[in-house]
Amino acid sequence: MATEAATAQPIDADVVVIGAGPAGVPAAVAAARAGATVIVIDAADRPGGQYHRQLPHDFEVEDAGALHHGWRDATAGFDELVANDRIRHIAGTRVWLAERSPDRVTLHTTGAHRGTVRAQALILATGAAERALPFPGWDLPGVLTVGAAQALVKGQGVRPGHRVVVAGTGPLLLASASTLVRAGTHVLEVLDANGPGTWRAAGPRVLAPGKAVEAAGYLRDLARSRTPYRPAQAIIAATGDGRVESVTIAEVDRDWHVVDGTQRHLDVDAVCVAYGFSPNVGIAAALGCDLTPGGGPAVVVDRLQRTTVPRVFAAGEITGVAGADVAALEGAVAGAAAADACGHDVDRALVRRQVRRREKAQRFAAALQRATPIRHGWQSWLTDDTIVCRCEEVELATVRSAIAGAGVRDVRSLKMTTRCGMGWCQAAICGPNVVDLLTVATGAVPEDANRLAARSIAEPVALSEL
Amino acid sequence: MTVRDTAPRSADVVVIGSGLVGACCADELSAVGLSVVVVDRGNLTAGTTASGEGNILVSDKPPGPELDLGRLSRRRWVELADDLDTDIEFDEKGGVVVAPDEASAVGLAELAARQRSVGIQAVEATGADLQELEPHITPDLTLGMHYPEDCQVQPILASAALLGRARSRGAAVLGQTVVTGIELDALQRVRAVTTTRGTIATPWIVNAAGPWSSEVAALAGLHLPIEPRRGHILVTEPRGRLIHHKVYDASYVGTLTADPGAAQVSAVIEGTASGTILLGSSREFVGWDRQVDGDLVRRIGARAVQLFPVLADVKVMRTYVGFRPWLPDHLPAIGEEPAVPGFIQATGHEGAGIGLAPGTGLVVRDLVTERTPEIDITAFRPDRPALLPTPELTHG
Amino acid sequence: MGDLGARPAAAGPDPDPRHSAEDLRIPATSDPTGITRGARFTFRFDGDTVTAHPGETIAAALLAAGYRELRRTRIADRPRGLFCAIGTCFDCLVSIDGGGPVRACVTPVRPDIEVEVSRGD
Repeated sequence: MATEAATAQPIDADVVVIGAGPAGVPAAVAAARAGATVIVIDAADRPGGQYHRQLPHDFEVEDAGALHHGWRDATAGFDELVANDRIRHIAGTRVWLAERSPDRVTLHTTGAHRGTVRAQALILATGAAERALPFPGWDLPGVLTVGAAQALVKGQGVRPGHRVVVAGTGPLLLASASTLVRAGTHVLEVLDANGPGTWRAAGPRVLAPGKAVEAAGYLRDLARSRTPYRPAQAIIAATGDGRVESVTIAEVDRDWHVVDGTQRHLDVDAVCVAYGFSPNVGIAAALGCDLTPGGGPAVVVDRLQRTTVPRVFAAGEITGVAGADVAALEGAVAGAAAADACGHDVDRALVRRQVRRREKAQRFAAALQRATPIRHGWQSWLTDDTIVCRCEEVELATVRSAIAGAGVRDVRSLKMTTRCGMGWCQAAICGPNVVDLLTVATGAVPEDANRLAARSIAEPVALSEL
Repeated sequence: MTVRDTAPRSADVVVIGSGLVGACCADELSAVGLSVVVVDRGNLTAGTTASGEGNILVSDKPPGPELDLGRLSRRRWVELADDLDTDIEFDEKGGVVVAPDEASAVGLAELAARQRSVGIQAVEATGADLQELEPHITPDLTLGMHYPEDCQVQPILASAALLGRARSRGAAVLGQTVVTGIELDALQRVRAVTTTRGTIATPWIVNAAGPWSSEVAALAGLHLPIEPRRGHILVTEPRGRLIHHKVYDASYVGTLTADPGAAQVSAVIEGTASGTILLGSSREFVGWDRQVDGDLVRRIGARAVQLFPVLADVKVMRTYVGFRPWLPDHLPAIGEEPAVPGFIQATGHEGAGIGLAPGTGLVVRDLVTERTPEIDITAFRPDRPALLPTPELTHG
Repeated sequence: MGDLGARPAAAGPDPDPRHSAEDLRIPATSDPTGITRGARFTFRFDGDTVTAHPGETIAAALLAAGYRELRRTRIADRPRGLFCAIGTCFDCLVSIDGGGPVRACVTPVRPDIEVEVSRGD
């Protein structure tokens, strides 16, 4: 029979924040300081999100900040989450549906708190997940995302493997590799598909003083462990019997096509890949927030972190990947703006300063993004039987035949005819890749590119846990 | 789909709406050699049909005109599943209707007896028999009724296949084409359809625009009190064959005719070819609001688990809403409008559109070719008293 | 009972470094990253006895012990394991005590549970 009923009474607050990471915690703190009552809903048992993921309560660590950056500010936020009476932190709880009506937002939750949470304003701080590009053998056990390796190391104290290769691109590739190495992981090589040419073209801001020092630090970590960092190289295949045992690495040109004759093999037992990020926009899209165009879309916000939907704000990586510093500033602005929307007094001068600082920091972040684009040449690494949709086991040949044979041009039709995006993950993994495959094959970004982004149910929930 | 820049200048018939009813009409009309243009203001088959479960039921219809249409339609479904080139996932899986208590059991038994008297197969199943039909169903039921003739189909695949077949016979199928006006001649007879892709001269119009049909009718000066009646469907993760038939609570039939004021929830559960399970159902009037209602999702989930306790740990992956074309007396409007000769209504099927579409296609073909339809369609007259405008709103 | 390639080596030295049985956990040391865990307990995975510590997820405990294959896919019986480790990809589905598939990466491990590779239906 059905298990006990969900909590009958909804809980109310002025502001509700989804996500207790680098943006969500500052958002809650800022809103509370302005006088708003705040509820923070987070899936993990402890705050920190992905970037500041903490070990379980049951673990004791010599130095909790050893593998983290910006730890002091982060823990100050965690402390205030607990200490501030106006903030209620609901951990171990996930939102499966968000509804809005003219005067409030209603969230349906499951997990530690099953029931509804209502607020006048909603701040989405759900972050982003690493984007994985398909390649032959990417679905073998032992192939993980870089984010997975981070979550395992930071959140469980477990290294991803004994002989690990890290490959991909993106503003956090070096930082993530450095974390793995400092955790004692034997990382054989770090490969960045983008090379020095792309970095130079991104402009002088990429080498801004603070960022250059940071990057140098990561490279030093790698050097100390004798881990080579190789730009303009990528993993183009993984092989093994039941698990990954070897990878094929090759040099790639500026568009990421393989430079023939440069292929080589490496024996490994774990592969960590990440090609940039996909913001977690499922709830935002379902609420009708405008998204940026293209695969891996972000939520559109104005200077005060307002989305295009009234009462709904967004802060952090969900608005575009720019790192933890920018996330904290965005969170603070969103918290103040949300409190203001509920009629509380905010320190406008402070908010203006934070907006200015955020704009400045964002310019560096944008430069870094320009230095680490995704180039369509990855599609040439694939073979006919490379899995494109992991959940439904859809091979590239099926996708190509739907586009070429049946004339499919849009995401909806592709989904209907191939089943891409219909599995458990509801296109979280394959969505951006399917959009890119359609874009290259048809010569245009599909008109319904963001269709796969909206999640009617934010994540699968057992019927008895609704 | 080839997108033409302009519509054909003329046609024997213009079908407005590319859902399953429109597709069936286009298929039958083109099969007898008529030139057909199908227009849809949005993408093809993107309306109610795309939200449908794919029900082909005789079990939910008491003896009468709708059951007759249902049986005609079911026979045609069997033929279509055989004829069409593509697999439309047609499954003669059968239905099981359950009554959880004495009151609904009495009603179910009476309905079944009446249905049997006109030749419908309805077999009582309780206890061990019911468990054999559905191993995971709750034992806490008063009565079960097995209807071997209930079927399921994948409505989007079916619609696409039928439109494709119509196209192969020369029909033009145009999405993203808005009907902007309907021209009548001096005798009020249909003369042409004006669209955003040009004007199509035609003596026949078929209004198969589902919940949007009243807007189309108004273009010809006709009143058709279609309202969108919203439903939710939950889709679960794939779990193999946990559910063997289309299973629903006998109270489902009650919600069809209940006071339309409050949201009605009644358990409807079935598996699909891919292993996912579809859960319904809800009925409410909220205009065109597409936002999912979390409380209704919970209620549908709770009813499903009551009926099949094994579903407690099955995960729902997504949910969507659809709008049924509702008419005040719960019967479709199928027939030529006496006030506007040449204008055929083929709409208002509420939640039975998938099952009734092929039969509707046959009737529409007969009307256009001036043959007598195989069934008596008097009850579906678009100008029947129940559909006439009243001074006040018919629902809250 | 599972693919040999997906298991750690049996007890004893393994000449092939790719299948080292050395536990992947960051150990308890005086380094800043050193971790002290609570008292170990055991659970079962596909018939094997596996150790775990309080606070660990099923995925982490299995990964640390060298297991890679967590499920076989529905259509082509492909082996899958941890991929995203944050509950998004659903590749780490396992069956606990005969129940329906759950994500190993977000499910805490408990003493004596029977975890099995989940297989497509």
